[in-house]
Amino acid sequence: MKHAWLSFVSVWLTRVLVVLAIAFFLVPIVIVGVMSFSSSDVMMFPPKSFGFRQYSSAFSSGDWWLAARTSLVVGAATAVVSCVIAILGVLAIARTRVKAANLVYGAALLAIVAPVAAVAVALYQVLAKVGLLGSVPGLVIAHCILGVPVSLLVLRVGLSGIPQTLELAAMSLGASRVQAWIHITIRLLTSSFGAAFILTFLMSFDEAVFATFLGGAHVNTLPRAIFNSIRFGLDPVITAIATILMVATGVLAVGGSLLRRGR
Amino acid sequence: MMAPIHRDAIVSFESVSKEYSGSLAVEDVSFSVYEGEFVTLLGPSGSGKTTLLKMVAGFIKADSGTLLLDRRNAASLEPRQRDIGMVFQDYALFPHMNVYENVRYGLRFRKLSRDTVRDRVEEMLSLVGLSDYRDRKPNQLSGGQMQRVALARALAIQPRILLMDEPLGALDREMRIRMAEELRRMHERVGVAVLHVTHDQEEALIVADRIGVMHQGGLVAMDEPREIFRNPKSVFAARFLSRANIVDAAVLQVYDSVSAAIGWQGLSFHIDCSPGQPTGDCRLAVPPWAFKIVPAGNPNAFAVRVREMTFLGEVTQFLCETADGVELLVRLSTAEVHEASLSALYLSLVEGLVSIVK
Repeated sequence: MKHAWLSFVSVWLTRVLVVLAIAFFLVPIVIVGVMSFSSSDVMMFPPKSFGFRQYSSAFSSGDWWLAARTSLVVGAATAVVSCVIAILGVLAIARTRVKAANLVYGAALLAIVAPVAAVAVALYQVLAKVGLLGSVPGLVIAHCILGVPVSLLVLRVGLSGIPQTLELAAMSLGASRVQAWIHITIRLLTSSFGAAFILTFLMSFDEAVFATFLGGAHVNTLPRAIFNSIRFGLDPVITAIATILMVATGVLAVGGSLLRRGR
Repeated sequence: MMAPIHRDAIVSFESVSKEYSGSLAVEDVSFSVYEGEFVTLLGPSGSGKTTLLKMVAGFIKADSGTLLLDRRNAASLEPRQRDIGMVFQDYALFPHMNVYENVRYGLRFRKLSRDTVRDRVEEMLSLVGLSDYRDRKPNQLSGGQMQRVALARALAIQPRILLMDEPLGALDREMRIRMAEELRRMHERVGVAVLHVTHDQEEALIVADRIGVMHQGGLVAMDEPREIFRNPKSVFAARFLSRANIVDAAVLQVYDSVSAAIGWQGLSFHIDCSPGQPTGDCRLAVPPWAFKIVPAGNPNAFAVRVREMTFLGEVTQFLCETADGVELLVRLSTAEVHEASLSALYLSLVEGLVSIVK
């Protein structure tokens, strides 16, 4: 009897905790989402009246479109460059006898845990010297420091699921080593590439520190534009921008994790 | 069985050795595979047989010795230049290609007309009986079917030699034996030289023209199946192939350097021997099936005490001990055992099944 009572309490306690944990993550997002449908010109929660006013002013503003375009370009370039570097790195680690490849892998992983602000300061010096400060290529290089390790991790997991005998079989049938990689290995990594692409793209798309430090006067990405807009005032348009971003990011992230699980 | 001497050697190992981090994976191995011949390397895992196979494929290079492919030194040849077909234990079918595309893959590297390619693929699919499965992906096939696709893919390029690495190892016993018999028939039709590696003796006996026994990187015996069982030459091969009893005996006399008089357990008998056999102490391999029950008082018999008895169906296995304490594993037909008195068992030898081993 006593046990039944205890298990009743523990079951309910668990349920309450789960609800609280989910709320902790989701309530801020929900609040922003609700606020984005306010028809007022000041930010407040809960909104007094509802409408699409924030969305229409977001879509009609040229600055936001420009920032969105910059973010898309930087994100896509970061994803492509990261994936290309990562596949070469992963093949070097897993399929060649180049021992230094593992050192490079370790160095790449260290780059993820290094404090972003510190890396940004260091990069500032380097990019200024080579004249890439405040340029899209400069920001792409910075984002690749974060993007390459992510792609390396994803592709390495993907490659570990592909038996090497497939390449040996292709080679015994007449393929060169590179042909075996192209026809078999890289083809089988397609879903891993998709996942790596989406993850690095999102990472770049969401990144504000490098964009603020290294973007200079001209490279204005969406996260940076959001920061700037709340620094100089509280334009409620950003609730709409934030909501659009969150929905798009969420869709991509779910798509990415589905791909990683191999469709 | 024809002696292979006047046929061309497709693959020849000449004193080949290979070392892995200080220990010899392959030690001084020499043998050839001749045109149209099915050679099986049999041995426990880690005995070096797969290493030899991978050397022929070009995935591993020998440290010393020479490997000849078609009488050419293979050392500088890439895998793709070797004209080999290989069947892997895990089949290694390309999962993103269907059966037809898998079989066709090797042909894209050969300058063949579109019609030739199509005909060749169709021919291979019908050879392995999978013409109706051409559109299936590998994950829609059973183990036996995947095995056949792997075989068709390897044969489609008309290789000089077919290499098979534990090709039936992933199948259950019944399927393995059926596939082995099928493989044997297919080999008779296609006639390609085969080098095949397995740890399964039954599989080896079904498919092989010659069996080589591998032990700790060395090739300890190689011969036709019946012959290698009759004369395993080495202690390891005798134990591994037939769980033979290895007993101490004496060579009493050698005649014309081809046969010897042997003394053992108070018996004396003649067996074949190799040239240069000295007289004196020797070791005999006596397989468990080389014994027969005889009545007491037979002059060619010796008495044993039965310590253990295991009924195995057709045969019954005994662990016996002779008067002077030698332990013997003996298998007798159950019918024979049924009529015998087991309290005082008298055995004699089937001399032709006994051989001298080193």
